Amino acid sequence: MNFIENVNNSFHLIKQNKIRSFLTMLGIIIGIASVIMIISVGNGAQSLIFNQIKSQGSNLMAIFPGSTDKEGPPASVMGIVITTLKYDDVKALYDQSRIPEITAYTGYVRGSETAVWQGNKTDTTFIGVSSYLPTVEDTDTQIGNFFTEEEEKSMQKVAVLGSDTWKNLFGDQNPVGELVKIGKQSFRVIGVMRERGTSGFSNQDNQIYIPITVGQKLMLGINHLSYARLKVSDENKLDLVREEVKQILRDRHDILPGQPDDFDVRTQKESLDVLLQITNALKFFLAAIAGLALVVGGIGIMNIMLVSVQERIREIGLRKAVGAKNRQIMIQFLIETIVLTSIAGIVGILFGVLVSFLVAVVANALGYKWEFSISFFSIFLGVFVSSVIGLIFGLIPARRASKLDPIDALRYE
Amino acid sequence: MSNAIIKIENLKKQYENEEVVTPVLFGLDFVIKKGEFVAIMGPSGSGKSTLMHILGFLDKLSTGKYLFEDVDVSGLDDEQLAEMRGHKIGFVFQSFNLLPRTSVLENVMLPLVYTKLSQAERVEKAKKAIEAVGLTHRINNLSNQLSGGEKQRVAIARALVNDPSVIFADEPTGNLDSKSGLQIMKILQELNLKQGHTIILVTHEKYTAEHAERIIKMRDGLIESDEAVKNRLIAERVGELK
Repeated sequence: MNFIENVNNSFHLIKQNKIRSFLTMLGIIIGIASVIMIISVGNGAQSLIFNQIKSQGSNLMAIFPGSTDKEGPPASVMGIVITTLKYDDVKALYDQSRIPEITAYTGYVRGSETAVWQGNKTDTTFIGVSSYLPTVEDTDTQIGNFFTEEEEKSMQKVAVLGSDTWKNLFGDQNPVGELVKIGKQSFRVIGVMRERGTSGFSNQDNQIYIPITVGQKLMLGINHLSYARLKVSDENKLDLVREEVKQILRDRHDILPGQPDDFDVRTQKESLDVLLQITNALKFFLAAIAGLALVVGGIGIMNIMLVSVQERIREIGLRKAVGAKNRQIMIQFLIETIVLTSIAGIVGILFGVLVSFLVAVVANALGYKWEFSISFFSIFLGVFVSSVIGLIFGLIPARRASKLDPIDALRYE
Repeated sequence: MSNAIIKIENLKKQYENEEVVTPVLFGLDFVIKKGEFVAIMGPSGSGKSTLMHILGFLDKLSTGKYLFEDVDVSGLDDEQLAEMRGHKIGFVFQSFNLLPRTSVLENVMLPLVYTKLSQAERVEKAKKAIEAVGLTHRINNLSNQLSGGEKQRVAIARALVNDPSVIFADEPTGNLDSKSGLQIMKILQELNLKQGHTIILVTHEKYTAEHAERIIKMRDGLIESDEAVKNRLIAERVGELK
């Protein structure tokens, strides 16, 4: 019996026992589908985050309050509030005489509030930033203007709306000059940002930008920053600039030599690397758990194949009586298992791809720029793993079948 | 080359199980010639099945000599035994042993699956064997759609398909009603008389055994008698009388 005949024979048997075959394959189907799905959805989520961050340019530098070890994320990202970083620190860094490479800066403070205009309400995030934000984040207004340094300094209650916030409150009407209530304060709208999409998991279009001074004093009652960003003119001088920034901040914070920094300066690339590490760890951890399902599925297949050998003892005896060699019986059962797991693998791949695709469609419908990608690696992994599972877990049943004594097998009741 | 197809000399068989040795065959000698129809008869426990298994290459002898077509086959290993079964022997079993839910054609083709013949050659040979047992009209039926007699005829076709030197029939009528049983005996006799097949029939029934031309009677692992049948029953004639 050659390979193709064995495969045909296996299909014949699978057709004869449709329900049993399906249930047997289910474990592998779910396992493979999960692995594919997790890798695809993981890649989609990663690309979503990274594309947004990258779109803001690679010559950005971020300053986080609190010291952190290099490998981990900044403490402030972990939800710890540290109040040591002030807006004056950031303004001092912009002192052209000391670091001419810094072309723009902004601090960030933020809070959630309901914005109201003439009875229209929308839940939104207000962000206190400096007048340089459009330069730092490489964006612009589509209607009106961003606020100026003067407006920021004199604590004008002016607001620039994100494009979604604008539509939620005003429809298509020009909002410039209108008064919008954010929480208890009234702001005069002076502009609308162009559409920006999502960054990480926050929708940048459903935000309202206000002068940082107003955000700190009137809205939040604080005088520290969540974090700050600097734009550096020359990407190659990032390391140099970082050292300068560190020195200035240490001086301003009266940190003695030998004491650790109470802040953390990171370039965009470093932030990306940390993020990549975290998300990769998460992705592979999840994929490993899904991989466990494959092992369980493999054991299920082995179990059924052992039952199948037991049920077909007389058939095995007959095959031997008409001239089948032990090796041929072994190959027959091995191929049967591999065909079973390979079909399961293919169904699993299709299923996994389908679900990944649906996730991408839903994510895009929700406004995230989600890239649907199925890596060749995960397909290869699916096919390879399912065949290897067939080979490994098929071995014991196949060996048992091949070792049967033909006389005993023929007499088996 | 002599016309002896099977020749055994002082053939002995014992089963060894841990420390217990159970002798089953105590030294048998006989010759079966090409074209003979021999019945091996005896009560259960007489060793007739063990003898058939050894002659049919399903089991190995312990001591003695077994010449098959003048070649000493006493010391063959598992692989060689399988080779002999596949090319030289056809088996018909009491309980048919057809593959379930599989067509007549595929059942008959089963022994050829383990040969190097092409698919077309296999189908051709199987069709010929099916024709020989008169089941051409059932060729695409599944095995579970057949009557007992038809199942055994498929089994005979399967035994014929590889052009064996010897056909072993182990209680072929044991699971059949007397009419179907006669039909099977008729086919076996035709294969022997008209086509010259060598047939070894294993049975405990005297009536069935008398369809052969020679009966080897066994008792307690020894040959009790070995003689020609005086009034051989011809299945066709007996069938007509009924």
